[in-house]
Amino acid sequence: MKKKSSIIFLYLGVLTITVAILWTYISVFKKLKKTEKPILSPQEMDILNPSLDEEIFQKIESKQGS
Amino acid sequence: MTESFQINKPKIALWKNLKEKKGTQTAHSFFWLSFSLFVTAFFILVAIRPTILTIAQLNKEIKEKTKANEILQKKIDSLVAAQNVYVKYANKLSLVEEVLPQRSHFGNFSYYLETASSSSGNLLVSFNIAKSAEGKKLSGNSLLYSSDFSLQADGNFASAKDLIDLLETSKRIVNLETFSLSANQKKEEAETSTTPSLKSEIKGKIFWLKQKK
Repeated sequence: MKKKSSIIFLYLGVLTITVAILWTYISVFKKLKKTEKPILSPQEMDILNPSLDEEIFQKIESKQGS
Repeated sequence: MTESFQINKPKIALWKNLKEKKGTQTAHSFFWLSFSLFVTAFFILVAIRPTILTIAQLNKEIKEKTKANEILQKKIDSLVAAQNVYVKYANKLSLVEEVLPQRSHFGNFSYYLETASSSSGNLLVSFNIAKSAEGKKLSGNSLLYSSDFSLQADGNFASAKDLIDLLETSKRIVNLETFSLSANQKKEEAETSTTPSLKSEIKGKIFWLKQKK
């Protein structure tokens, strides 16, 4: 009877530790997958393109006034 | 016989004793093993799990912030480059305002039409701008707006052609959509005159940029 209860306790211990490890693993996985509010807004992430077509200015200059 | 009996008796007792001892030892081992497992599980949940979670979160934040830092650095570089380009073309930026003004500037445009029609030898009869003076937004994110316009002018073929040329060479972006010519005088008058009077009708669009609020 004593031995039987000891085995049950052992099984419970193994089960508890398995659950604890699984819970920790799932929590870490969820934390890594969770998408929080991005640090930069889309407007802040928008990179400027400072290249200008110089020919356009020449073409405009060749035109008359509006 | 008596000797063997005396020897066997303690042996059985020892056996029984050992068996009991063994049972107790196994139970003790099981107990301690289970206890260790419970304690380990407790520490996993109470100490290790929060630590690992914090480490994961910090790692994630570091990665995101490094990425954001790279993007911001690129943006700073592009701003510096844009500043250099601005300095280079600062004196020419007024041209952009003429091509795509930041307001509709219908007055300026109608003055230009008036000047263009008189200099080309036409008489400006009518000039209309579409009812919605606010204009139409051309596409979703674009700041480009447009308004329809139409004008009627009296003149001859050469002057009508000159007017078209002047509109096409205007600095402000003008999109000419239709151009029609029609006789402007009665049949008898047309037969006698050397330069037939024509009514020209032009329809098109003008564009402007709206500033971001």
